[in-house]
Amino acid sequence: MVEPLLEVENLRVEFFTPSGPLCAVDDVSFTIGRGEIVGLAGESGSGKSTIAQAILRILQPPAIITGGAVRFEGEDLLGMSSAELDRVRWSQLALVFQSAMNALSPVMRIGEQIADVVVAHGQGTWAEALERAADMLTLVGIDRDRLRSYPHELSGGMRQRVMIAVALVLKPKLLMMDEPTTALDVVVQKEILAQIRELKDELGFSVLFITHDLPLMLELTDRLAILYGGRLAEMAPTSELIADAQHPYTRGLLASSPALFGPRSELSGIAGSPPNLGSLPSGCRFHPRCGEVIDRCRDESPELLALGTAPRVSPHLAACHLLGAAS
Amino acid sequence: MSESSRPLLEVRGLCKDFSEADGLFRRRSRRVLHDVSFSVGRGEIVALVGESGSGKSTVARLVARLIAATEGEIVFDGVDVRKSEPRRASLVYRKRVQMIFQDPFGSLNPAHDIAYHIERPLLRHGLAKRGADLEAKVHELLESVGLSPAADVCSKRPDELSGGQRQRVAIARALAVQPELMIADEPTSMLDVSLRIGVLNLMQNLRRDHGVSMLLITHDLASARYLADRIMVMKDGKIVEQGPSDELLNDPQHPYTQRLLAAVPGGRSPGPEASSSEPPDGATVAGTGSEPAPPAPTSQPSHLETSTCPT
Repeated sequence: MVEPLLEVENLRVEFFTPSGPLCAVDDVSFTIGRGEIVGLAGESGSGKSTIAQAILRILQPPAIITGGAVRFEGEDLLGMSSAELDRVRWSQLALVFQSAMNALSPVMRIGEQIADVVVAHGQGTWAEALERAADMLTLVGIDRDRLRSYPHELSGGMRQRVMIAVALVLKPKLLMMDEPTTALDVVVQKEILAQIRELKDELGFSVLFITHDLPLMLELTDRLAILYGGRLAEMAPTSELIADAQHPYTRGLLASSPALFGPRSELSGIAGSPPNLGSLPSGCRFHPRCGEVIDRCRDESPELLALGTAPRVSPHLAACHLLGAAS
Repeated sequence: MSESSRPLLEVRGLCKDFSEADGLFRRRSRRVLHDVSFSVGRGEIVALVGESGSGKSTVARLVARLIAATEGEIVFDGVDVRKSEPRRASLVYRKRVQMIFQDPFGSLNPAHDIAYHIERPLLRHGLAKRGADLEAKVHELLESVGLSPAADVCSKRPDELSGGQRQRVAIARALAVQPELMIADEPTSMLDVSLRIGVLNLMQNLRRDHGVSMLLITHDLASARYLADRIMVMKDGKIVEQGPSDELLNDPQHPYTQRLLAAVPGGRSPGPEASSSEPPDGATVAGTGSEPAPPAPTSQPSHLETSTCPT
């Protein structure tokens, strides 16, 4: 089997708050293959952004990685010194943040902000860097004359494209995107997503896409992981997840998006509220909201198990006691 | 027109200018709403859909009388509210028209408990007396929006509730004065996905049980369709198309509506096959603007393209 680009193994992140540690990411494992688009979906507090920040090791205290391993092309990212990390970070793995409005400096021209990345990584002189910045802008669909613009002179969609240019200028192998289009209008969102797909085909990077927007995920990703309360509830190739969701939470999410066409039916959504990390329920974290709860769910946390018996490259995994009961 | 057939809210030729800086000292005015006209019938839910900057929230704030219109009429229950009281909106209007805001984190006061938020409108409008009566009314309202047991919720502060629960509190607060029209500005866009449907269902039930009319402001076509009888599409301060929800979505006339529909993830086509074959720049529908509308039925069309100028 080909080595995956990124391996996350039993990752655990805790927030050390005055009222005791909160486990935001608990025993999460997944891989991303080369050229693959993997989605991480979850609600607020599910740990999806924390995972991306843990992979890039930019978590700030009180958040601390307390267990697990993250391997990028076989190299352990968590064991690296900060000098080694500087070599890999951004040149190999880059992150596009949710809010481009806050991520760009308001007092620097956008060309300088892109070129800065190149120079900081010692990949050229300032003049060369500006030339590369201009090429990047063209690549993300912004006129190169805009090099001298300030962020406030650009629309939200254009600023998000600049962020993508900043992330891609060193040609990373993995692009992580944390809610990159949530603040944008659907029309702009569609343009940007089409562009990311195009760039991916051209430059050959992998994508870890993070959002709470399930319909968007279904359209974009090859494989999809559903997070709930810091744990993986289900993971499968996207088409398989749509057709054959196993976890009651996944099914609930899929049934929570109203349709644009077809017969109108009343949707039930999911009862209750997402868990509070400070007072996580015992057993399966979803059990207080689950309509199919059985006794075992209340005391015993379900393991993430593969469906079917034949070994597969990208198996369908789900963490639910009902699956064990059925087979 | 008789009392019952008259729409609850009629907006005619509404315009709004905002003043903005022009150089260091001068100011100039910029028109953000152009001749907006629509109506909301009794017990009807109408959705106003558009992208950010289209002016949809400005319409909401005008109708709620949080800001004053530059031109045009807002006729509520047969009375032009701008003429009836030129200076400040009356308590009476505020009792009949209530607003729910997008951000349930910002619209509740973090220093007060939940009971306080529901008590205030009840006392302000003289709908309850302090004491057991007030407490009973508060509990009843909280139960009616699905927050139970109400006694537990009452003593909590906003930060102890989830986003969905907070939005329910905001709805209970609006409901306290038994309004006839509720204006909801993006009521679910800041909520977690699993909680959105719950809030939409709650709004649907309020219409069913209390006959409340609603003006729903949203950017999400799917939730507009889920809740609303009619959808109006707004772009650059103009309503470019309006019609019954299904009719508008199944047969959009204005190029902007078509563009909006094509951009919704998983939207335009039922099968994944077809959606991937869609041109990536489906956003730039060119030339469709001048296309003549399909032969109109001889009777009056219920689904109107209200502007012929695609911008």
